[in-house]
Amino acid sequence: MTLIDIPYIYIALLTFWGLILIVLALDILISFIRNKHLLYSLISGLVLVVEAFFYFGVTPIISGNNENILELFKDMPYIVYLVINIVSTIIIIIMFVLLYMWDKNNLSAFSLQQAYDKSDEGILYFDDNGLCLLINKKMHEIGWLILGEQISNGFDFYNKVNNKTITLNDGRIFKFVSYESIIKDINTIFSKEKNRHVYQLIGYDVTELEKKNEELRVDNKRLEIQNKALKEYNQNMQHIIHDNEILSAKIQIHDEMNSLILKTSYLIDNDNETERINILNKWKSNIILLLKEASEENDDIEIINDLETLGKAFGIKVTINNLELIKNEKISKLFIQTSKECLINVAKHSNAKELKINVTKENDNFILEFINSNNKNKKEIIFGGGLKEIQRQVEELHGKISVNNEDNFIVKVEVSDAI
Amino acid sequence: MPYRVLVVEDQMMPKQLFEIYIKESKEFEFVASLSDASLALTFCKAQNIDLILMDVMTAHDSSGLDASSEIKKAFPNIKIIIVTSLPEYSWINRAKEIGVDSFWYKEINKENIIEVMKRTMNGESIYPEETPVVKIGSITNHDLTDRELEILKEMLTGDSNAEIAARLFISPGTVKRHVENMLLKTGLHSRTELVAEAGRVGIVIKDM
Repeated sequence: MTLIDIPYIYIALLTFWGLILIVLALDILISFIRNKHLLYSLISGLVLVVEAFFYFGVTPIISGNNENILELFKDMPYIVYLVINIVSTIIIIIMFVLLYMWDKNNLSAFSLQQAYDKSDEGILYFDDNGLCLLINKKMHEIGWLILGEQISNGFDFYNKVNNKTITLNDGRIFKFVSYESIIKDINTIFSKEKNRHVYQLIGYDVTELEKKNEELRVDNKRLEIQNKALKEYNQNMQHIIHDNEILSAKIQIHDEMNSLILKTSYLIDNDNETERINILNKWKSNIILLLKEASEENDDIEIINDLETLGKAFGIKVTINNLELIKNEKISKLFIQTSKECLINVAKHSNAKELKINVTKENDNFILEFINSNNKNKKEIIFGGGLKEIQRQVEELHGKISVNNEDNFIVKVEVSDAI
Repeated sequence: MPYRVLVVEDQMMPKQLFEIYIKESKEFEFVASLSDASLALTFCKAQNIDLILMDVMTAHDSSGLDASSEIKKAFPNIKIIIVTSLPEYSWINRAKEIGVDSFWYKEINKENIIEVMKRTMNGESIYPEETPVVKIGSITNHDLTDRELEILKEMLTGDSNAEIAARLFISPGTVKRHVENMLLKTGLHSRTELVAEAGRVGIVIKDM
């Protein structure tokens, strides 16, 4: 039976089926073109064309307009159209399944957009020309708040915000960072460029972080002040400990005095020559101590005593002039260490019996001279051992050290009082 | 032959007292006294010394413990007695590590210094069993653990918990926890108060 012979209802059904197939084929074709899948697009296109051909070819039969019916269709068995429809249906079903599987296993641009739109960060991709390739909802919003309009050129926006932290009008704070990469285009078949240079700009909401940072800054500032006070307190504490030790010693002496008074009163009634001498010696010692208790302790005297003691140990007389000029603790320490080294050098390398140390001050600069008059070494002086260490300490204080051995052997240290 | 003694002490009064005691003793000969521990080693190179009475905190921030360490390396036969009145927690252990022969608390020990010197020269090593007990807040220093004392000492520098933690190879959270424990134990109200009090009573002292 031909298409013309079969009942009207059957033709109508066949053409309606064909129409549905056309719509479905068109849908699939568009999907595959969008995903740039050539083969499936061609197959879908073919189905579409064939069905459309048959549809427009068979429709005049329904309307009864025999003049418009093509010869081909007049003699065509209806089974051909039926088979065409069945095959097309199978192909369409397969295409749908393939499309579904493809969607499931691949990212389309749309799915990327959906995913990025859900993000709390602003995301923008753009190319070398500033063309925005992908911009998510958050970045749209940020763009409007910053520019007062939508982002039209990625590069312009990038130059405005990259590596900056920006506070929006609504109080939120965003930090922008960018990345560059070369990526393969999703489907190179429809793109002339195999690789594309793409920029990515991300805007992170750091409002909470900034708030915490500010709180932290305030806390740290407060702690800094407290710590400074603590350091100063600690310095004062050293003096307090020093005073406490003196007090303890004084208490001990006074206790001893009490005991002496009792023993003396006992001796008045009991004659014991040995004990008497012993007690008198103890009285003498304690009186000396009490006299020293009354006098002020003096750092300079301590230093002089120490150096004289050390000099005596080596059999060298140490004479120090104008030590009282030094009030700076760092220079004091340097002075002591240099004196010590010079004493050792005098003892080791010459038979000198005297080391003279002169302290002078010119404006804010100290000049310390350590003079050994028995100079046996006329050769060039190379700093080594102890003197090298002194040189290091002097240079740490931005001072100078020199040795002159033309006549006397003089070590000269120059250092500023302003250190 | 009397033992030759060097006294290293920066306070005039204790220095004079030691001098008097030594001169009164037949077993010992007073050689010299120095205020600054950094000069002690040089003195030992120039003179024969058998025994040193060494204070811990000496003039110009020189540490008697550091000087003792240097002297013990150069002259292992010289006996050293550390003499102090401060209950600082770490000094006893440090002295033992260095090899200091004896350790004497000026006011606390029942024995007098001459007895300690005699026993030390006889080969004894005299160390107190523990540091003197001092009150800090509502507890004593012996109620604090070694770790707590270690952290308390670091706090003297005024550094933050993070800086202290980095030095001690622990986390800032651990430092914070120890500080909180100490405040709880002592009943003191703040970190600053805790450090101030600890420094005042001398249980921790900044290293020189």
